[in-house]
Amino acid sequence: MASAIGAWMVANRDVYIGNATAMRDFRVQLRGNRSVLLFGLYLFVLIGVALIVYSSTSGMSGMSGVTIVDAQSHLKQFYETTMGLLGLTVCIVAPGLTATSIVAERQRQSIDLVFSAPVTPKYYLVGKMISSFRYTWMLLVLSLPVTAASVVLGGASWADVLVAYILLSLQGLILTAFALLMSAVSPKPVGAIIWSYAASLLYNIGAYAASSTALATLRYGRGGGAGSEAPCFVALSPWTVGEAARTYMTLGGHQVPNWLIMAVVSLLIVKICLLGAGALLSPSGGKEVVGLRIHALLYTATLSGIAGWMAWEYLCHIAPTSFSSSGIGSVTGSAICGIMVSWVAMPIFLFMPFVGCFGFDRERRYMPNGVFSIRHLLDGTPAGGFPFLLSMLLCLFGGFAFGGWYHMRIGVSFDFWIFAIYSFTLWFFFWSLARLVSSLVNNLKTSRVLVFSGFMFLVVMPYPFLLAVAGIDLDINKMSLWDLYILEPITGRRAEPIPKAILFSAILFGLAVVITAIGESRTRTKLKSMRNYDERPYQAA
Amino acid sequence: MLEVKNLRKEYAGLTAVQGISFNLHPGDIFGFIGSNGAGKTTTIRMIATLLEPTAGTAILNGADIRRDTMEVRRMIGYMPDFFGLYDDVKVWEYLDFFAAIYRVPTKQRGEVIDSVLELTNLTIKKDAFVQSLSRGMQQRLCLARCLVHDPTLLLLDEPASGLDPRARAELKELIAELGRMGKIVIVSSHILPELADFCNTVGIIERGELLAFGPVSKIVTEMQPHRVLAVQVLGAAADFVGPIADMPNVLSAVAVGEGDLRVEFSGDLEAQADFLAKLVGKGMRVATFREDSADLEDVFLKLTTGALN
Ligand SMILES: Nc1ncnc2c1ncn2[C@@H]1O[C@H](COP(=O)(O)OP(=O)(O)OP(=O)(O)O)[C@@H](O)[C@H]1O
Ligand SMILES: [Mg+2]
Repeated sequence: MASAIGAWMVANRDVYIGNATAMRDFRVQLRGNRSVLLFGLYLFVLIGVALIVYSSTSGMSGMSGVTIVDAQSHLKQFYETTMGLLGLTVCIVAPGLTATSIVAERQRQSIDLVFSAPVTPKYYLVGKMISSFRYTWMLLVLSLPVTAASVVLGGASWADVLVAYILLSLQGLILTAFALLMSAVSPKPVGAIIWSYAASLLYNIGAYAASSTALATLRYGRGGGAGSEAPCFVALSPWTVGEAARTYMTLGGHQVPNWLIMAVVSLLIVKICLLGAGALLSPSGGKEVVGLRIHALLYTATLSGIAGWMAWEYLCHIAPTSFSSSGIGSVTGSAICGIMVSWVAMPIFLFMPFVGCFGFDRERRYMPNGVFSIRHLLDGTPAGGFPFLLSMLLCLFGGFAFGGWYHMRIGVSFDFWIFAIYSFTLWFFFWSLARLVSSLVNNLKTSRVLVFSGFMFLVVMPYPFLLAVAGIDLDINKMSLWDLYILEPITGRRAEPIPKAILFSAILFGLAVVITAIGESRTRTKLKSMRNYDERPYQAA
Repeated sequence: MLEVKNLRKEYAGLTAVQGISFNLHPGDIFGFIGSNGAGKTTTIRMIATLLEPTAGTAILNGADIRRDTMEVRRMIGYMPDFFGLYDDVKVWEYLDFFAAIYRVPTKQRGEVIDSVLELTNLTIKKDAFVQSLSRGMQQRLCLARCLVHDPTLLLLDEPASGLDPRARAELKELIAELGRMGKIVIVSSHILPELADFCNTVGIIERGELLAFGPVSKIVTEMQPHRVLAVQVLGAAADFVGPIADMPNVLSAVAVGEGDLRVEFSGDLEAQADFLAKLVGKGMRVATFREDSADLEDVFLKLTTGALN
């Protein structure tokens, strides 16, 4: 036991301290005058902009009639502008530095040399993470003199600055992880750069929207600001670190600073990004795939648990009345919850092509090893695809129900589980279609694209399309197409959706069983020669 | 010992390696011969654990390339048919990096780097940047890189391409030395003379199939079980074909060109001497008389059809 822990610690020390990949990149990064020039230019720009902002905000304080409070708020504004600038730096520098790191090695093929050595994807990726992040971090540290100025002048306290830097570092870490994932996915450097910045942009828009709304409520609603209570996601955006630094959230009666929650969240995000990249770099069925799947299940369960915890009260007590008042029949709160979770499960269609199709992908193979096997739940092989899908759904529905129960101590009724079953049969049906397509088409990519686009056309597109055609005031009762539409139980707009959900479930289940049988028999014949080959006794030449 | 068992690789719509099997022992220098696209690189990359085999496996000293990947990687040195060098890195830093990822203890690294540089004749370039080395030097640096962790199996994919004759001779000497040290060396090439004289085992691969495997002499005798004698006579060779074909131990005789004869002969050296005496006794004016021994190139050309995969 002790020796196992010792070995584990040594392995991790090797990964995080003295990582050879990071060491080599470090030597290259600091070679010659390039980085000195770059740092100099960066400081010059930073100080220049800070001076301009400072003179424009503090210029008024020279005028008569400016109160101390005004001057204070100007200084605070100066501090926040500086922090915003640093946020911008992180958003630009972190993805830019990281995006090409893996693709470039793949193009130069030096990645093959690295992976012909006893290097795990973890070791390699953490090394890459360290080398890019260290550079971003050096830029942050270099900006300290500028931020120190605002502390000295009185715009912020040292604690503010420290927490703001921690937040910026965490956001830099997240953006680095995104870029690293993109770098592992993309075959070309240009693509990696574009996708990294796209991911960074998306993250920024989402995080900024969330945190600025929350902060606005703080500012105007309660007149608070620093040192007040706010939801933890205010700390997500690099643009508002100055304001978010001192906020906290009350969890279980304790005031937990948001930066601490943010630290945990960002490490989880980094972990799942690195696992994704690792799964791409390792052979099929590798340890990283297992880790990725476990994390996916855990996060799904946690998120739906939180959703249940938050939405339960509203959905169980308020929703049924409002739904019935708008002319929809006797839908219970539990059924509404079920409908909602079924909708939330929709992004599973993104997994569908990967879970249902097999074949060849670049240098890997995905030979079907059966239809259903719990044993393969986590290893990413086709036999485990469907069990994984089921566990995903279980996490969604179970997490939601548990979250609600934990909050209100009221269990869901049978109506909720009806929709869980409906959701399960719907995805079973699409999974069986994916297996059929995959058995008919030889090429992995083609079959995945077919499954994906088929699903988009059949399920995702019609809804917004019909809404657009019919206008927002869609009278569903007049649209006969909806009667054919298999999603009708989920949309739940009609009276008595529950019997329909049961009926549709039964039909879909039957169809799925038949399609699976056809697809599997085709697969078996196709692979017979292959199997024979595998089992041929070998003779050395 | 390396056991390759039914190793097979399929790409979408193409079988690059069709299930090949062979065994190699310590000290074996295995020449892997095949034309472009025959599947050499694919096989080597599978053994190097960089490619997942579609079927089959290889076992190196008890470690399976599919299951015990890390263990196998610790024992192999893979030199690909490209350089994969980093920019802006010095020679010793490059080697230091690989020594580090092979977990060579920090204290020993300096010594190891010096000794592999010595072995590959690069000591004077220790502080040069890798991109400033000539092609041949880069090639040798790649070989030096494979040696930092003292591997038991070396996988060298076309190691001699781009080397000048001198460097080539040195490389051969180096590989032979590695063989004497008890390592298994797999060398792939399509340049035959390069391999014949220092490999003790060869394999000929075409379209993913191992057509022949074994010691050079064994392969050659298998392909050509009988001796071939080349006889140059003065006068029209065609006139002599008939009488010669009737002589004892002669399996066949054909005239090649003006005065040359190719005689397939099954007797021993004694019989061969008698045969010559008889020719002279019959009044043939023999100008030259020698055994036409087949070499690897003949075998290769005979076995392969030049079909591309
Ligand atoms: N990633 C790949 N995808 C599809 N086919 C491939 C891939 N890599 C190699 N092949 C095919 O596999 C076959 C064998 O290729 P391989 O590189 O092993 O040949 P080789 O014997 O090393 O040839 P050369 O002497 O030119 O290096 C070729 O027909 C090639 O086109
Ligand atoms: Mg090759």
